[in-house]
Amino acid sequence: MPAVTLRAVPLLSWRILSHEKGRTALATAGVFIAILLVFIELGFFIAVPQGGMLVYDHLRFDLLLCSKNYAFQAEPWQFPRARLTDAAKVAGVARATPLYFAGTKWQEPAGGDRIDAFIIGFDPAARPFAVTGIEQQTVALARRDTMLVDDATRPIFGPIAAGTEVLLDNHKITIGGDYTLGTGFLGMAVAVMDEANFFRLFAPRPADIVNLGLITLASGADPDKTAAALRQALPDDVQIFTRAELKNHEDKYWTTRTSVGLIFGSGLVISFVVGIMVLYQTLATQITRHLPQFATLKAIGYSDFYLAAVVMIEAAMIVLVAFFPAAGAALAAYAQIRSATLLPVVLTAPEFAAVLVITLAMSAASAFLSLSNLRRADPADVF
Amino acid sequence: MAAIEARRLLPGTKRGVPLAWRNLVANKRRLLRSSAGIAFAALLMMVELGFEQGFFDASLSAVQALDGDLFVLSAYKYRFGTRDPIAHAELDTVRGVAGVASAAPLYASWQDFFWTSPLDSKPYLVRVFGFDPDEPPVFSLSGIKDGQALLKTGDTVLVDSHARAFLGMDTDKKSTDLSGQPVQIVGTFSLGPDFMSDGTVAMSDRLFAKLLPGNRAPVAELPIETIVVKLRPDATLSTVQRALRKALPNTSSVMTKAQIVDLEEQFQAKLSSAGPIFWLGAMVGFVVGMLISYQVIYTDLSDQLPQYATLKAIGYKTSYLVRSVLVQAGLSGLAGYVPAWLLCIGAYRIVGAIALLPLHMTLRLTILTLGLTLGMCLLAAALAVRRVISADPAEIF
Amino acid sequence: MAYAFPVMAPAVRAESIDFHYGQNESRNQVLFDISLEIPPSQLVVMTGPSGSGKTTLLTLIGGLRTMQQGRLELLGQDVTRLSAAALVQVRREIGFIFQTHNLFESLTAVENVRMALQLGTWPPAEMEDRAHQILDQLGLGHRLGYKPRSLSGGQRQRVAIARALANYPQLVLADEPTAALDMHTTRNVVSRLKDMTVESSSAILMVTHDHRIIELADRLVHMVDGRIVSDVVLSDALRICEFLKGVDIFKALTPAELTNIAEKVTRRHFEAGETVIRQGDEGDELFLISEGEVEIDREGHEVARLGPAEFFGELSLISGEPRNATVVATAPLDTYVLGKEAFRTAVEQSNSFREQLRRVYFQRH
Repeated sequence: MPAVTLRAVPLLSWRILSHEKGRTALATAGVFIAILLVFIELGFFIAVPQGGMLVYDHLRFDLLLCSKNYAFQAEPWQFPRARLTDAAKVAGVARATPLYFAGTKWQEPAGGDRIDAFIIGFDPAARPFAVTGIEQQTVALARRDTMLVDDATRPIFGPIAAGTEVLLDNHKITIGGDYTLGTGFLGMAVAVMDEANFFRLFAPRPADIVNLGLITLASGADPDKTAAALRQALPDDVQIFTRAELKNHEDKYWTTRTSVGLIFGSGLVISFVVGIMVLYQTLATQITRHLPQFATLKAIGYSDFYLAAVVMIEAAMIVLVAFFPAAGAALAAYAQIRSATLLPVVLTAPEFAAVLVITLAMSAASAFLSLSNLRRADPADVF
Repeated sequence: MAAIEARRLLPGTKRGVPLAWRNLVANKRRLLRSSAGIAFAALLMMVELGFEQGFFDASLSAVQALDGDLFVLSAYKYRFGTRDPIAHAELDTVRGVAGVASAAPLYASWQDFFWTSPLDSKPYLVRVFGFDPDEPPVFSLSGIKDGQALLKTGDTVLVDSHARAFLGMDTDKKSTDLSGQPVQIVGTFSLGPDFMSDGTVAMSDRLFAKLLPGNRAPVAELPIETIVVKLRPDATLSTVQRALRKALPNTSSVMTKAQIVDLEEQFQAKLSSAGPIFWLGAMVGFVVGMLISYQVIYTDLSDQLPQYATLKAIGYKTSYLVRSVLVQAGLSGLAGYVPAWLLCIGAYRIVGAIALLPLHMTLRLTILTLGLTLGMCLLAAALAVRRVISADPAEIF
Repeated sequence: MAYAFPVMAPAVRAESIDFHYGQNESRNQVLFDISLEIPPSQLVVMTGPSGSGKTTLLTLIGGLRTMQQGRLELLGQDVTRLSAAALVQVRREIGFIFQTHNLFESLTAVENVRMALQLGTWPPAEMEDRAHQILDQLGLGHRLGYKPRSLSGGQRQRVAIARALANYPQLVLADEPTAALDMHTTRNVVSRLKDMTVESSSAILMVTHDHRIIELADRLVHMVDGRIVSDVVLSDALRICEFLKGVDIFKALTPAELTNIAEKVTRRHFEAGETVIRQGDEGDELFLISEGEVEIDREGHEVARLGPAEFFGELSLISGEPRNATVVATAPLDTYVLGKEAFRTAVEQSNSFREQLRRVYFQRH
């Protein structure tokens, strides 16, 4: 094929599309919706496990020490405190800090429902939380029977302004202030407490029981090597996760153990198919309408490949024009979803690229399907 | 006049010419394409709303399985599936109220027991129900009704054969550990998991008291999660409910099963993110379906614009043409809905089995999705029909 | 028959119609002072170059556009001020034949026709029969259940024509209805249309360039640049000429003289037993018998009987005296009537006519 006609392909595709503004606009709108849906489903698909990683992402640690029965963040099981001291002895380990988890019933003093809340106990001096709200309110934390509450706590728990008193397991606890982190999937209400307050509240919980151990490495220490060393040194009632391994584990939990993966995955597949359908519908009817013109081109001497290229470029043009507004709309949708469901749905670069790939796959698939219509353009029929 | 006009839209030779029907079926290929598009949109809505329903039903599977007329539980419960038991002594109070035929205690632990899976010997948290095997069964599940007697002796349990696979409750293994203690598996029942628990174990109250972590109370003092009340045949529900409320402290409430379901509904609506997520997916399906439908109708109208304009010229009112287009859109919606509905039944079965969600095509779902499907087609038609309305019959000359 | 036809009012009466498209600067006037009256039973053919406004006039007469200037009466109803919605009802009385058939591809021939029948007052049971009948009359009796896809171009157009004629409309508007038809089909269609002018007194206004139809038209209207430049009642004139040639006082006249007289003649119909001329009345009309029979009575006795191609009443016109006999129709009577003025003019303009009259006059005396 001569070089000049190759360059003309996109021009012809554009001409055909811009000639029928109404239909093209309609198809673009349909593809826009499909791409938006892909963004949303994929957003959920990624966000749900990320919700699981939310709190971890704001904790300072290089390696996580936990029970071998660790299921996911809200179900970490427990291990004896001695493991922490043993871990601290391993070369490369700078510090091993405990975190304590407990569920409690939160009730407003005036009465009302007793709702499940999640409490995290820790040593403020160890500064495990990389959260400004927590780091700055150490004075409040130190007060007796006081806690800091995550401001993403649901409204049904009542007001969480500093000074408010609530009943946790029928004990009076004061809210010293709030912080911004996000409850992830720990529960509908999350609060943090100085470990002294924690054990006072949950007495007679033995001080020996630890839920998570945050291991900070000495500078220069290699995480993987130290992890291996720890695994050697510690008994097998505990296990070690690097940050990467932890993310993998949490992702896998949410995607496979719960139905989340299936639900959003299926939504993703369906939106993909719907996008193909809309695009195929458009291209197929367009080809049928322009059959004489395509047949004429064939009669003049353009190859099947050329015509196929025209159709493919058309498909690509439509999806690309629809893609960027869809991404914009997705950003707006994500903001809405974040505020409505508290899921950390955000647009990341990899996700953007993934949807772009999916979108182009959509266009290729639908163009390919509609090509069978093109074969009906018989140059002999022109006369 | 309206009657005559209506007659003109009905199919059949003695009545009016069935223009809408004819237009729909004339072009088989186009009908197939439009039905496929609408079917997909309808299927998307069915799947999303089916999930929403499934989530809700799953969280209530245990409640629905209860066998009683009234239930006594803590007034502070924000939903059924949370640990907030009432004092054991209230059992006697309940038994003393007129109209009560039986009052059986149900003990529950939602996240305290761990089950050692026979598959990988790892511990997993499970939901545990305990009850008195000598009392009438508190669950209507056949596995529990039949197997209850076997729980009277020994450290025996019944397990949920529909629990998530990794729990290994559906194997031939006859024994395993529960919270570290060996137990014998003497039977199964069919309940299914929900978002909170992966599986359920049922046992006698005696064993429950023994195995409950941190428990030192004997059965006679063990706090009860809910008291399952059965009424005498001659008793009226509302009367007994009122009497029970009077007799019991106001830290306990007396509810019917429907009221417990209501409580859960309110919780889901207020606190759960699940609902909006699924409705979002369904709405997107709606919009896409509307777009596909619009495109098909618009194309059809454009192709037949001279014909419609001709009808206007010879004396048809615009309202007739609009009605014909709407009827055609409605019929095309049905043409897409029916295959989607049939496909969905199979899809629910498959997905439901994989995800262990109770996905059922109920009457409610059918009506809801049918309404949405027809709605989206009619809306699309209403938008597209403006072409016909504005078509000028003078231009055909 | 399911229809009763009021035959008195003209099918179309247009007075001083102006029409323009566009506003202000882009205002384009397409019709200038159009006045036209079409009586029932007349087949009018409208010709003119493209842009002459004939299609616009057709759409106005068809009630497809709202009037701007002038007055329009359709089938006795003043439609000048009617709203678009009201015009819809008026259009049900009109049969439209468009250039393209515009049939629904999804409906059979019968069903396409029934779409028009539904607008009438047919009982449902008769609709199917009427559809069969009209399609049959147009030669499509064997194609009733076929969809347009399975019909030839000419057959499709005939279905469209059947649709237009199904309700026995009293006004038929057509735009190049025979463009796609062969000679045989055209003849069939036109004869069907002409039958309609008689059976239901339908008036037909047709835009066409088809010579075969122009030859058969009753009247030819020619439009140029939005005006009617000629309006000739054709076939009546021709028919009357033919007839006049058979009447001996007109035998020797030239075709031009005949046409002159033919144009001035009007038709009049009398029922059997009706008195045409009363003895003693003023005489101001000459009667030429086209169909039927009359009895001439003087002083109560029958003097003579006259039949087709014969004439009476010329005496009073010539002498100026009152009628000397009574003439009564003995059978339904169709006559051509020549008025006093027209008679005088004819006498003045034609020597041969004068000669013939003198001869007859003296013969009769």
